[in-house]
Amino acid sequence: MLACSGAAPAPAQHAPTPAVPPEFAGIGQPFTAAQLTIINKEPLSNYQQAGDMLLQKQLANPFKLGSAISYQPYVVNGKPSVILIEAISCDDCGQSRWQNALALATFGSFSGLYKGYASTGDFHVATIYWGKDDYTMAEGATFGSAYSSKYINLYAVDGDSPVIDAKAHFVPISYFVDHAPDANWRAAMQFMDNANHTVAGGKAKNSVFQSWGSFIWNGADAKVFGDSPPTPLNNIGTLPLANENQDAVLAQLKKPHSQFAWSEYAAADIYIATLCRSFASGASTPPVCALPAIVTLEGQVAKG
Amino acid sequence: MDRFSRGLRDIYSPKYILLNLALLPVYFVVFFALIAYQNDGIPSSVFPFYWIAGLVLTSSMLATIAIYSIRNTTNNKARLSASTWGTAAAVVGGVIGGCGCGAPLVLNVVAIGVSAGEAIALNNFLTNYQEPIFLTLIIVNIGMIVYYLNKLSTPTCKVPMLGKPH
Repeated sequence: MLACSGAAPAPAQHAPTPAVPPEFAGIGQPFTAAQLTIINKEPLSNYQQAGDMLLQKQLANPFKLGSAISYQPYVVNGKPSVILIEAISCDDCGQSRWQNALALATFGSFSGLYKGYASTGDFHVATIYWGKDDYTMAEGATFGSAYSSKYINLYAVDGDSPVIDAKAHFVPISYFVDHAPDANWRAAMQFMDNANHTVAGGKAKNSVFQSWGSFIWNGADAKVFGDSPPTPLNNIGTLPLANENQDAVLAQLKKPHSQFAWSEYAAADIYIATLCRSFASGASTPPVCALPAIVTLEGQVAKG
Repeated sequence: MDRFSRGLRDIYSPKYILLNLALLPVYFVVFFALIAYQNDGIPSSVFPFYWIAGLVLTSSMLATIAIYSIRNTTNNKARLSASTWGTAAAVVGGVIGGCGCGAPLVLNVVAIGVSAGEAIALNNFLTNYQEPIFLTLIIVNIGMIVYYLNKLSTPTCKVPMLGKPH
């Protein structure tokens, strides 16, 4: 008989790794080559058709044409830049990254993207992470992406915070200046903090604050969570993007036929037009800037 | 409870039922207009619709009680506090009830000298606790309705309606 008395030390145990709930399936995993191809190699005809649908008001989702704010470009190595400041705990950022990626892919290509989710608790919007975001740490920032382009520079940064049982966790733009990993990033983040004070009264936070060439977007240019926008009776949590994974989104982007897919391309078109308009006259631009829909949109993206 | 139900019966004559029904859409519009203003024109809240209906209904009841008191009594405070609180509750609900990335209107506190970091921290707090705050607004609304219905049925507040024996 084994007598157990006294305070024998308990056997050492490793803390179990918390299971990832099914609604966060695949989080942190890199896109496969085939998935990257869907983002990188979509035909320009998709962008043209979506632009036509946008201009002809055939899309149900809301777009913010005329909301880009004219500002100086951030030029490095003779190229204008795209600077994206977003957050894990931001549904808008989650839906916006698909459009960002589609737009950026027409100026260059991604060699790496990661499956991610944006969450403020109840919602878990399927999205892309530009880098290896730390979705467990209390507060942080992930700088960088695997992107190259001969036309532009990309500076993408996400504010990190726990994605499972998430809380809203936003920080001022100056946070990214303070936490920049090197002088190059610090300069880019300082540029954005200056823009924040100039065009947003210093109130911008990392819930989609972006520079696209000669324009600032304070917020996303569209809200695309499904085939139609959220309503009083159907909030974001009921819409497809809050209930799907990356595979489902990519399948729709590969063969666009839904309002959702065309809206994603149309929102990308608005960013593309903003960027195309930023190149100096006579500068080398990618073929997407010559699309008739993009040329038309260039005249409609900015305020004033 | 007896006084509460008597107050309810006194106030909710057909005329005031109609008034309350007319105020309901007004408060719905206030609530969703604030959300849409902060959310790129999209009137979508994070809360279940029946929560919103609860806040709007109780806020409109408080306004109805306030209007009743203005027209029918001379000695009570409901005319000001009931209408003010009910409207404030609907407004606060609309400010914090949006979805996505918080309550942008709150960030306007930077205009009174609050730092951006503190304003964003307040935004994070309100977003993270929006559900308990919203439920508290409804509960306070209900509490004030009960309180004023009780008060309005006391002899010092109540003024008999014309044609009714007292």
